[in-house]
Amino acid sequence: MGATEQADRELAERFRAGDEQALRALYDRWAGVVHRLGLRCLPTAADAEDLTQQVFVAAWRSRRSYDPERGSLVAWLLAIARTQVADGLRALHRDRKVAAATRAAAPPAGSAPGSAEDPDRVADQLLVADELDRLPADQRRVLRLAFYDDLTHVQIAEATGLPLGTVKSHLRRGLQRLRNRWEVDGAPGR
Amino acid sequence: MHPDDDVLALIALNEPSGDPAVADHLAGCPDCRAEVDALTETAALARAADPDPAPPPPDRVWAGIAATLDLADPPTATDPPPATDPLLAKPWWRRTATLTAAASAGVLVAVGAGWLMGRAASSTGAQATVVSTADLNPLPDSPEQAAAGTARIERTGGTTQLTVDATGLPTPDGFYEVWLFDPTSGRMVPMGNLDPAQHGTFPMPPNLDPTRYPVIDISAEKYDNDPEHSETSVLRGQLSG
Repeated sequence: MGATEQADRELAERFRAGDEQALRALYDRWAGVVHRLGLRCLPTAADAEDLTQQVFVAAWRSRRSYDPERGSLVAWLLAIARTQVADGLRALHRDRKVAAATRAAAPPAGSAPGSAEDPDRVADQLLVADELDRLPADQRRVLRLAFYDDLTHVQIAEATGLPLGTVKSHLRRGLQRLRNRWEVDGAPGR
Repeated sequence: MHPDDDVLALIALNEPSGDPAVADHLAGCPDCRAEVDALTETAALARAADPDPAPPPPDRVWAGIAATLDLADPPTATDPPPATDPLLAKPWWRRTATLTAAASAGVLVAVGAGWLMGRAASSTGAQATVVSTADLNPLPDSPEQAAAGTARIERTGGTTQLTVDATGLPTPDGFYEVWLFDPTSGRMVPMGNLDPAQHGTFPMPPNLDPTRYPVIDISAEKYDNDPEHSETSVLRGQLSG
């Protein structure tokens, strides 16, 4: 177990035991991730803030139901967030269908209003991005150049001064770790 | 021989191998193709994510959490209150609260049961006070239309517990999980699993206000490493008391 995993485990224990400082630590670490899920899936910025608040309130109240053996804390928080987003959007959708029915018009096709993106998909992206932030610095650096600057491994070697073989091995190891995290903690039903 | 893992990772990162032998191998090797597909999908998720770390939400969000939970730690609310657009003043899930409640009422058929109160008293002794009860019924789209159940919350001395009994549920692949549910907000609290006799008794979490979770829901869960509700509800009912 690495130092990061050990720290996460200790944080989870304190959180489950009802340590309010641990809730604050959870919030400092992952409120941005939950908030971003809301910004990408909900109609307004105010909704995203409401979602963030509800998720952390719900997490605190059900903290004893968190089982570290079943997944990471951020995956658990995102699962709570996905459920709330889905239930909320369903309610909006139902609202719209009822409104449409009273006008004797068919409801428009597609998902709920404002659901610009699929919450499960966005949650998976956030999970992978969160893991990217936790990679060893060199792996993170080369992967970011590959993902966001579209550099080839040769260009990455030139840009960083790292040997070609090292770049390839960082890319492979980093990508593999992101994949493992996604497969263990990602939204079900893919 | 399988290509080097480095080569497969590069293919997943849009750098095809120039070696025709690799392409030939991939065409005939489902294992390597699955590996490339999984890594490609991972890379696509990462690329679709925002490159910058998610910024923290405004301080008022933490202030709201601390106030709701009555935390000892004093919140630091420094930024201005949220937009006062009247349409936005109400949380988004509450804008539809009335409708949601009405829709739920259409689903929740029978509410409360006199005979259950009698049974609760006789089975647990005179000192148990029944707080609320619910008849549990299949949802219209549930495959288990023959199933039924009851739930009751009762207080004995200083403890409050939920008891659930069901009948007619088939032996599950996984297990049946009992939830407290607030259809207005979508909040759920997992309570525990039904035993093979389709019975369960669960202590109510301390500091939880049962009136905020007016619905008992039983879901069919699989052993899929997913702690959240499966969205397959087999029984549901509204508490009254």
